[in-house]
Amino acid sequence: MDLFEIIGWLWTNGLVIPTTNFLVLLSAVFFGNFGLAIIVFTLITRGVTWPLTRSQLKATRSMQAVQPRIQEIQKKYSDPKRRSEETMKLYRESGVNPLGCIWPMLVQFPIWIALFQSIRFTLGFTPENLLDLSQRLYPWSFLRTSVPLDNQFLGLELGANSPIFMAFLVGATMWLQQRMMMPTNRPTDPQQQQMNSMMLWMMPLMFAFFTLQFPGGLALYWVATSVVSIILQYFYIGPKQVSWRRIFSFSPASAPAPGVKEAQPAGNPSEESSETEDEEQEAESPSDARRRRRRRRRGRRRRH
Amino acid sequence: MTEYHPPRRSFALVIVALIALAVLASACTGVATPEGWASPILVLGDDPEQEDLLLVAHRDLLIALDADGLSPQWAFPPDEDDEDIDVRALYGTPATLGELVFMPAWDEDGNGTLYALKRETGELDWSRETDGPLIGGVTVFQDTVYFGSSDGNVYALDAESGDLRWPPFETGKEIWSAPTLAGDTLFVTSLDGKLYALDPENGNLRWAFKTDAGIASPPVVDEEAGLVYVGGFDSQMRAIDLETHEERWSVQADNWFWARPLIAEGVLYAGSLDGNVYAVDVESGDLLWAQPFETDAPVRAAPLIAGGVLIVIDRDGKVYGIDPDSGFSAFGSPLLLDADVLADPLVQRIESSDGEAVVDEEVLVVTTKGEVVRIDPTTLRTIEQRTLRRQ
Repeated sequence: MDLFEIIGWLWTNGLVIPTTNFLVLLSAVFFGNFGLAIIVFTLITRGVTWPLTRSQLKATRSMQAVQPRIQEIQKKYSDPKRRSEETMKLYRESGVNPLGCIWPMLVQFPIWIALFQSIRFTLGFTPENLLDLSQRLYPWSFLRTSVPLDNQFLGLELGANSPIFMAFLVGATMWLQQRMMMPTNRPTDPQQQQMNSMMLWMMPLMFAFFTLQFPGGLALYWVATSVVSIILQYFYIGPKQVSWRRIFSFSPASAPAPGVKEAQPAGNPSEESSETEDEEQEAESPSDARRRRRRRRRGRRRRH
Repeated sequence: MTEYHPPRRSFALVIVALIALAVLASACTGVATPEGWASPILVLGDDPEQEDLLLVAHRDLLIALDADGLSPQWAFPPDEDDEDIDVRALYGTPATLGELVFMPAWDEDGNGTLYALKRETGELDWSRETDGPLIGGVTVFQDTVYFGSSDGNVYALDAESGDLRWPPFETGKEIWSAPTLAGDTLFVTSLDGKLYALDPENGNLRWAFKTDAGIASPPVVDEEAGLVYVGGFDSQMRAIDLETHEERWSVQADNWFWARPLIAEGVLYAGSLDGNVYAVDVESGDLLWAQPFETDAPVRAAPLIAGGVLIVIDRDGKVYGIDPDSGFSAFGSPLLLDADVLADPLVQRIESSDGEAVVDEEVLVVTTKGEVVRIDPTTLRTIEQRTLRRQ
């Protein structure tokens, strides 16, 4: 057995088949309703992956908070090496991991894809699907006898192509989720603005388009995932700091994440508020703090 | 020090990763495409002048072949670009009555249509649409066509006109099997887990038997033993008494029964999706062989006996010849076809010129790749293999 076969075996037997059986089990528990099973499954998976989601949210907000200072560094230093060093220093001092918002997302990818495959197997839209499913169910009679599952949920046929209204729902909920994550300040860098705009509009549009090619069950999963994410973000950011008017006003302002101080507008880094400094001090190590205090004293002496 | 990548590149990475996810997801998901597994049938000519036809289906195409030379006579739908006929896949076994061929179909729009075609040319005579795909086959008797639909209804149509004989009989879920007419009762199985016994004259329910899970295989009636056999997703093959309507015996497998069982000389042979073939004494329900015959893959295709050998084909396209008495392999190794097999095979019997005796038997198999394979059951060797084509 070569490496690819081992990975394939682990993928199928370690992720896809357990997920498939769990979905069938949930469906059996929830009155044979597969739509309800997908929603409950979403809640469970979002609960299990919450630590990852939380660190992703935190890292994203932290990155947003230091963006103005990164832009300053980019303006200030023309030498790429120096620029790189200064930016890394800034990350260290601010306690920000530039890949912190990517890894939690990447870790969740296999779970999503395994779920996609499981939903496809479990729906049994065609007789061939059902034959395949029979080979993936554990030999427990209550699982085997609960198939085929009910493909209907609130008028939606979960095994057939998603209707247009589901594509709209997927796009709208995904947009709202992205919108809540958008930075407080409009980035001064036009490229950055373009990236944000792409994240805000392109991703929901792309997923809405893909939804039309996918079974309704997957669309339901995406909508449920986005709705759960919106709720989690709402409570993570803090209900008082979420401005629905701002979110739907299509302006870029947004509330900062807890634990991450809102970044200051572009300007001299030495003119940061003492509040920001205090917060950064909390995040940095004692040796870093000592070095920073020494730098600040030298800066003050030069100004005098 | 690690080289720093500007934040815009990080965003670009995220976007690329998400697009890759979407592409990957679309590659491994999407809506499944029904392939179809309609079984072939032989249509004998009414007189010596009329050629015997083999009706063979592959995916969304039904082809009438000359039974002797396997040369195509006609195809349905006649034209690939015909917008009026939108067949997506063919699962149900067709049936013939007089000059008409009845073909159940799964349409592109997700509904199902029963097509009545002219036997000689394949031209459409009439059609009847239902609200769900037609997966099960058709049963004909006298001048009536019976079939079930994924809309959960049992239909009885006038064979000449396609008009409803009686209001559709409603079951609790999809019907994926052909009805069986025995004596004066029409038996229907449904994914709601019930066996229904209907009056074929008016569609009234006479009695029903509830099992523990859905049933996708057709009921098989054994009038001699007074039993009707039903295998289902509860992994049980049950014998229901025709008089008392109660279970007389059952056989438990390790996975579902989906293949139509075979009854021969007081023995029931049933293939299961657990990859085993079971031989059961119909009177007692006892297993006859020392152990079930084990294949390498699930068995969806119905077993048959030809040349004194029990022929079983598993999903992977392995053809096994089994001694029906002992349950041991009658040949050293199975015949390997180069594609999956889900459709029931067909026995073609070649009679002597006076029609008095069967001089030869062949097994005809249609693979999921659209290959028609003729097999000699006495040697388990391929006689001929052809790819299905319109012309």
